[in-house]
Amino acid sequence: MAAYTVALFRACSQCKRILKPVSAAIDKSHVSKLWSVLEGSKRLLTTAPPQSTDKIEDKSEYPVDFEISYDEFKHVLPLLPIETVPGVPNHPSYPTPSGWFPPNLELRSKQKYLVRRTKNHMLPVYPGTTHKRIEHIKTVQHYVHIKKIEGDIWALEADLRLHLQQKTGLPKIKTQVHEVGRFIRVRGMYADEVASFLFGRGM
Amino acid sequence: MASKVTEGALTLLKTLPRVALNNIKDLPTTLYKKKTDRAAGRKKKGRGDKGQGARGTWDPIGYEGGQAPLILTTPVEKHYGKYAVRRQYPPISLLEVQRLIDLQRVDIKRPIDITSICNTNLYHLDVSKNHFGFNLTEEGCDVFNAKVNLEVQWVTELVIAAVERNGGTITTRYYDPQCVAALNNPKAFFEKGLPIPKCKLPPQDALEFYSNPNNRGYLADPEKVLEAREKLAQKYGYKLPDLSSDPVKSLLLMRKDPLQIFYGLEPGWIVNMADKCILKPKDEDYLRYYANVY
Amino acid sequence: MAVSKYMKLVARQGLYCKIKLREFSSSSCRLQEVTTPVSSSSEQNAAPVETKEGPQILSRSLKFPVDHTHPRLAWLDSMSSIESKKLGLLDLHPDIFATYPRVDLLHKNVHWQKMYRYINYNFEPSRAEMPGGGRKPWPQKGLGKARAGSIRSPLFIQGAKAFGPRGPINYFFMLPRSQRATGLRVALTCKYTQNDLVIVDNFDIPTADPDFLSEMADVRFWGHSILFVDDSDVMPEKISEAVHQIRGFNLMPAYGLNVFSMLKHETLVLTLAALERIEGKLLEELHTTAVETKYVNKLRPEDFRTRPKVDSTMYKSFTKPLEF
Repeated sequence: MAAYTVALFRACSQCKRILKPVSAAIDKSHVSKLWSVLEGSKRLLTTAPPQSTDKIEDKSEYPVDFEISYDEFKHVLPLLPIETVPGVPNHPSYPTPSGWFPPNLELRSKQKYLVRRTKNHMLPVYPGTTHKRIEHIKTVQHYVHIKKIEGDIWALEADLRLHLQQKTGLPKIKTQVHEVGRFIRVRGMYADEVASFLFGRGM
Repeated sequence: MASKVTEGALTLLKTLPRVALNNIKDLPTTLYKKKTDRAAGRKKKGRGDKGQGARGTWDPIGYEGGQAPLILTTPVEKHYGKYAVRRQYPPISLLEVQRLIDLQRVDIKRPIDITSICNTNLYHLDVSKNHFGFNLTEEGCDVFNAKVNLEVQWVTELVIAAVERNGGTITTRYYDPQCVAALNNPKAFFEKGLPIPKCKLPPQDALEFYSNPNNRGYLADPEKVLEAREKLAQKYGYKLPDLSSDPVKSLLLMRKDPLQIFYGLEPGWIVNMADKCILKPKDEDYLRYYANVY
Repeated sequence: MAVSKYMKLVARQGLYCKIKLREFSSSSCRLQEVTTPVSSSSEQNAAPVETKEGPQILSRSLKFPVDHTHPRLAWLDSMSSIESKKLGLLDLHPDIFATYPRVDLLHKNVHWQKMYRYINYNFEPSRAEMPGGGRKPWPQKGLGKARAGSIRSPLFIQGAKAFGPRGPINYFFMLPRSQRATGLRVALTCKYTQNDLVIVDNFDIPTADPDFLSEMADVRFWGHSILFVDDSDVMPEKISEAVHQIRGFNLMPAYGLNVFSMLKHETLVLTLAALERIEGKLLEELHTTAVETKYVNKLRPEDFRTRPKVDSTMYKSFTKPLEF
């Protein structure tokens, strides 16, 4: 405990918020060499009591005297959340450092089908699992869910199946086509292969 | 495209009668099959003759006819320790941060801290689950390319190197749960009308981490932090960019006071969202409380 | 032909163009024939101007433009005269007016709209709640009658119901926000594709005479039931009076737009302001960062209390003398 209090005091001294007696005013002249190294760092509450340039409304109702500031509200604005997903800016080259690239509109327009990007500008390819009992044995079945399909969904299913058969070497790849929901489910852990297939088609 | 699903469906719609309340139907759902209870119509309802089976007066589960049951005879062994009390730092990788920057979800012209990440609405911190901040992980250290001023709660050496290599700065900073809640959702916090809290110092077991210049702790000696930067550059073999001649130097050197949680706003102030102003009480005791670490 | 080739060129270059139609006849022009895509630009709406040559295409800037399909087109009409005056062409966002027609979601929305506020008040008292029935009607043995404990048993005529409906039951549930939004989009798509969508500049009609409106509807083949939607909930006086007197015609603010009403009425007439509001809101919903959470009903019994709380404590402190 003693070691903790010493460490705490050292930390306090570093941040210059030391326990002061009640009657003492805030020490303005104690400029720390530590903070002068980081130029431009903002120091708190070292100023004199605020100037009376405030726009005072009817303050007789309130028990505490206070100052109103309209100018400093500008610091609040960047703290508010972003409600709409912003558009992607133009990068000088693709893929971006994180590996993102936009859809290739030329290549995509030549296809019989189309997979639209999500509102976050990503591919709507989602791996998932279902849990089943096959002859009383608990099994986990992996699948890949491809959403937002436009165009000839059956052509996409055929191409995707062939592509995965070649890649994996398996004779049969099980797929589900849902025309009303416009999605395809592929059995297996093939999210990366499906994504690369779609990227290859410019989606 | 050979056959367009949407276009084809809409062309078909034009030929069909007007879509009205009397010609729409839901998809056939086969999730719940009505099970036929054949036993319900029989005399003994499939329960057999007399006894507990027929009368439903079974013994409680685990009852051993009066003998002390196994669940009571075996002692409780707690192996989890104080796991429920430990601090948690949900991870966010360098790759994810880079992706946020690429897609302009985060503004690199301002320091990236908890608020910037949570305002994307993709990541959130839950104080009830003992989340104390973000843990910046190493995945994507090779591709991280942005010059940013990062403020996170847990890092490793490799992550610091990845950030500083590109000319950015990284600080580890502790926030107590009340502050984490405010930072996670500043709008909801301001709408409560509470004064901005002052951040408490880290607890005993975290103090060492946040005072260590190798972790770029906010309580560390800034001169030692500069030394540590140089040492790390030598260790990982990159040239440390010179901060003093950087056009965004003021951004990279922006730091919050140890008691401060929002840039530009001081603890003790009350944000009035309705009238778009800030209220600053003038009481001496109040100001002294929010200005000092007690 | 030359005009259409020029428009294709311009669309490929991605330029905004304002083209004056040289030949225009209102009766022969159908929306389906106008298939050349008009590129959506970033400029503001131009005011419709009628010239001697004919009306100009109004380009309507669309938020969140899409790459894979073209915007749909609709005439901008007017209600100032009985005959339609085509003031221009408007671009409609394909995500709102040309989505895949999920009729099953329409059904779900209609079912939800019916059921979420429905309360079944059927109530059958049990044998304990029925009047009387406390006394054993006749002795257990000796009479040759079946044994009975109460005249209100379910076996008895005028007795209680054993497992009848028990009190007000609510069927409240919230359809997920995305499904409700998709329902609105699908309904608007169905209205547009089946030629039941009309867009007007405003609801300023010359007379409050209901015959004017019904004649207009007849001439323009608008159908027997029309839903007029504007952005505000305070409507101009004349149209309010006229619509009030016609059965099947209804006025509605944009915030009241719902799937049931759109399917119930044959024609949907939107003002330009309403179109902007609805399209804006639905596109915002499609591109919001907010994560959809399950609706949690936070209502408590206290919220339904209408009678004031009466303090019925026996022992009270008397501060004032009692008045008799």
